[in-house]
Amino acid sequence: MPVTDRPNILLAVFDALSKAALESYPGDLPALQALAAESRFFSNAYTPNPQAGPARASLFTGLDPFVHGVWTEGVALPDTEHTFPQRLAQAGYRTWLCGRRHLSGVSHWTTEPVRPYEYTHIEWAHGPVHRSRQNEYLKWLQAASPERYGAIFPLQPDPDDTTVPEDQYRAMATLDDELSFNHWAGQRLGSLITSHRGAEPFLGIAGFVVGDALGAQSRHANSESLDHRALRQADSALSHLMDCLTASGHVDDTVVIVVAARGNHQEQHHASAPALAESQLGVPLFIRQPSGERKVVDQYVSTIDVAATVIELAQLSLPPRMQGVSLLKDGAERGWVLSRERTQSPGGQRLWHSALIIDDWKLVVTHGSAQSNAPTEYRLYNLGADKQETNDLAGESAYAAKLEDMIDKMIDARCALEDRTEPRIAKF
Amino acid sequence: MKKHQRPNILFICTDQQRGDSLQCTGAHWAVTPNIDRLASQGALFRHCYVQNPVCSPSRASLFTGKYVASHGLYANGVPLPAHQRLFTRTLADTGYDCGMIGKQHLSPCDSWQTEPRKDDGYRIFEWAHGPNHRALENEYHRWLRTAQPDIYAEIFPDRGANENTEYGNRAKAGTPIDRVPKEAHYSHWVAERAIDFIAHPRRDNEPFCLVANFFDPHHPFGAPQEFRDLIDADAIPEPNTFAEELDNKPAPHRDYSEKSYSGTAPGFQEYSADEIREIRAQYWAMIALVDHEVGRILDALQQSGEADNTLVVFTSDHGEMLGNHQQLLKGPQLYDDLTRVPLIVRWPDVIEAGCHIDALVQWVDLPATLLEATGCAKGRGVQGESLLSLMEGKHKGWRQWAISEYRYSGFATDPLIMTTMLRYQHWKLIVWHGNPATGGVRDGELYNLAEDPGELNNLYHHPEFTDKRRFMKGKLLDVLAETEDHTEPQSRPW
Repeated sequence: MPVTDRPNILLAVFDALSKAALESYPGDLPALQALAAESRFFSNAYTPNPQAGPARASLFTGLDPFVHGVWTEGVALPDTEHTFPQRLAQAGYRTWLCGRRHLSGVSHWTTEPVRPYEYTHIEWAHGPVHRSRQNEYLKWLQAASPERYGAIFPLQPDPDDTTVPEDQYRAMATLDDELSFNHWAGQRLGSLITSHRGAEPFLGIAGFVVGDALGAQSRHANSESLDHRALRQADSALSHLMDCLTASGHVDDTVVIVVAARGNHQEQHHASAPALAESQLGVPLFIRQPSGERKVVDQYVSTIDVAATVIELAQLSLPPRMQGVSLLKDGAERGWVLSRERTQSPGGQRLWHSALIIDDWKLVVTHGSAQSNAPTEYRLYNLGADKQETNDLAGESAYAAKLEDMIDKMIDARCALEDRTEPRIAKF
Repeated sequence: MKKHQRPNILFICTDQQRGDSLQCTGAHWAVTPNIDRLASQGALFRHCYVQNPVCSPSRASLFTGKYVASHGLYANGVPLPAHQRLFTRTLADTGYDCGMIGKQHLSPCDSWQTEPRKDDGYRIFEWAHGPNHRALENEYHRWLRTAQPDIYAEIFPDRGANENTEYGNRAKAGTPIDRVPKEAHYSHWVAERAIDFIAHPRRDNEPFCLVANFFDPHHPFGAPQEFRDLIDADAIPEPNTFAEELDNKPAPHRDYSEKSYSGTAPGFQEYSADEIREIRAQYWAMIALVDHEVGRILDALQQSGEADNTLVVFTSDHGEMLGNHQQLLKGPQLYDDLTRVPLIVRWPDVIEAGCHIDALVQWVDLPATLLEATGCAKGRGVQGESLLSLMEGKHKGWRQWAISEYRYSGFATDPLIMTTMLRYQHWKLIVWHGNPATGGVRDGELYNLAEDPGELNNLYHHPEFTDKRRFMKGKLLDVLAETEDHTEPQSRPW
């Protein structure tokens, strides 16, 4: 007998999947398409940061990257912050993660440390070629198919060698679907669902990997391309998870959320794609309530809002340290997104970009140095008329006033995302 | 740096003292011989900006070394978030004997609340939010009850609760406690306790760090008569304004002229010209008292034999409108009246005596400076830059900007007011934020400080300066990016 009516929550988190890539996928993705058709569907959802670490930290804390502190890749989420799995675990949820997590630096095959009381069960693996000793997928693969494992990962003389040879990628890419990373994540999470006997609700997270780096260093600057095969395998895994929910009788008390931490670049556009392009920032986001009611929400929303949504679904009160707003109420959406990238080129040169999307307009700033007179560069797009961002209006005198208006709004948006989470409890 | 012994730190901070209020910073009518002498023995910064124009957020930037957007104490009445680290903690952890005397204000103090201790590293915490603050833990009142029982009994006859928590704010002129003889005054108490702290016996090579925080020259505008007698009111210029000034300023400027503190305290318009002249005289009388007491502290330091190995800082947390621009007290205005403060640093043998520094520096730089001077790592979270190389004349390419951010930091209004100041070279942009930051009407101010140092002529809407305004907004975007918190270490490339 359930002691509460709190729903179970199944969350599929894709590492790098743009909304555009999902929509233009050449072929069927039956599970994703079925879910999307039965969901509260956000047609304009964006990540606050195009880098994986900051984006995931925001997704899991509900805070802007410059509030939770993970301002660039390889920074660990500070211990003082709380993820929503931590909050749900404390509230009595069973919390499970199978697959990728990425809330701290994992290069050089580094194992992510666990956070206190976050997951009651975790099967962590950063990706199929990530050679941490704690990679649960590789342990499983080695047991499931020693021959294939041995063929892909011959004994490496230097365990610290972090290059991934092309043939390793190729071998991974030709692995049977049933031995794939996303299949494994779906199987493991599915078995947790079907074997769940307690009265407590569960939060099950599948950390899918569809970016073409497969858990190694990206071969492109600050983004990944879509591995089509991996996406199809993830779709099958989602299908399996829905079957598990049905078979175990949980489908009517489980909310399913699909989201990507960040977008990706289309393969052919890598060289030329400008910073903070729509494909990098725009992500799929949909929420299937047990009723299966379809509702399209066009307002701009941020993945920062997912944590608040999960916390509301779990019937917890929103913690003060939360910048996101629940996505379940019509008209409560923030209506704008500020996304910022603070990284550097391989040569150590600053690559700092900011993008504001509001009222069908998009401003992208390439920051100059505050120190010198180095110019700040702008790109301005009318997304309403030019979804492909082909027509940069920033240099046109007819749009000078519009450009300044967008700069004003970006200044205000940055102001809106500053850390003012500590409650004001007195006048002075 | 020539020194190898770790210096003592004597950090003297006043409250609400304008940058131009000392004789050495241009106020020829000021009676500030001791502070002027301190400046002549060290470095005098002519352009030091605070990160916020009101107490708590500004002080949080001082103690954490972080900008207001990052430390989380965005308004008076907000406690400093528990995870923020104070630089005094770092000094204590590395062997310093630390103490704080006077007002601190890193937590709400309204309703006579006692400010709780932080993880601050102090051995001594002799706290008193102000001379009228009726917390039982007000150490000044405890001292006064013993040192001057008659004065205490006369001014504070009741022993029960006094709910009039904004008593001092609402007073148009000084309250009785502001006018007591200097021997009974809050500023005297700060000096007495600081002198005692300096003389405290310590182990060999155990340096100290004392934060001595005066409440003066914060309003109410009242001072002991003997210091008022030192001030020639006729020598003080009339307030910096002209009759139509507010016509070309953002609309809220008029509200803050009529009433101060978002309508809760008397405004400039409620004072006669004579009353304004008198409160300006009282302001400099308070400064004369502070100067007298600072002189006693510096004498005690000299007598202790530690002066040559002590880095002394004199500064203030923000300014005071003082009738300029037809306004009083403080609020969302980001004129130099509020954002520029005195900053003097004396460190014998390291900093050249009498050097004047014109570079734009910020309060957020002070913790980094003190940590470098004491041989500590800058540590986690500290955003400012050390001023030592600047003071030693070695720094090239110091930043050419300063920022100050008001986030409904004073008394709140509906809609909430947020303003941001960017000083870049000799230009100043002030943004009055609108949607999506707040429901307020977006507006702005633009000043050419080279030609208009008094900030009387707002060029923001002037067609001739459209390009300059847009340039400054772009610069602000870059500075806002620069001042984001990038202090969490990148332990892995990804």
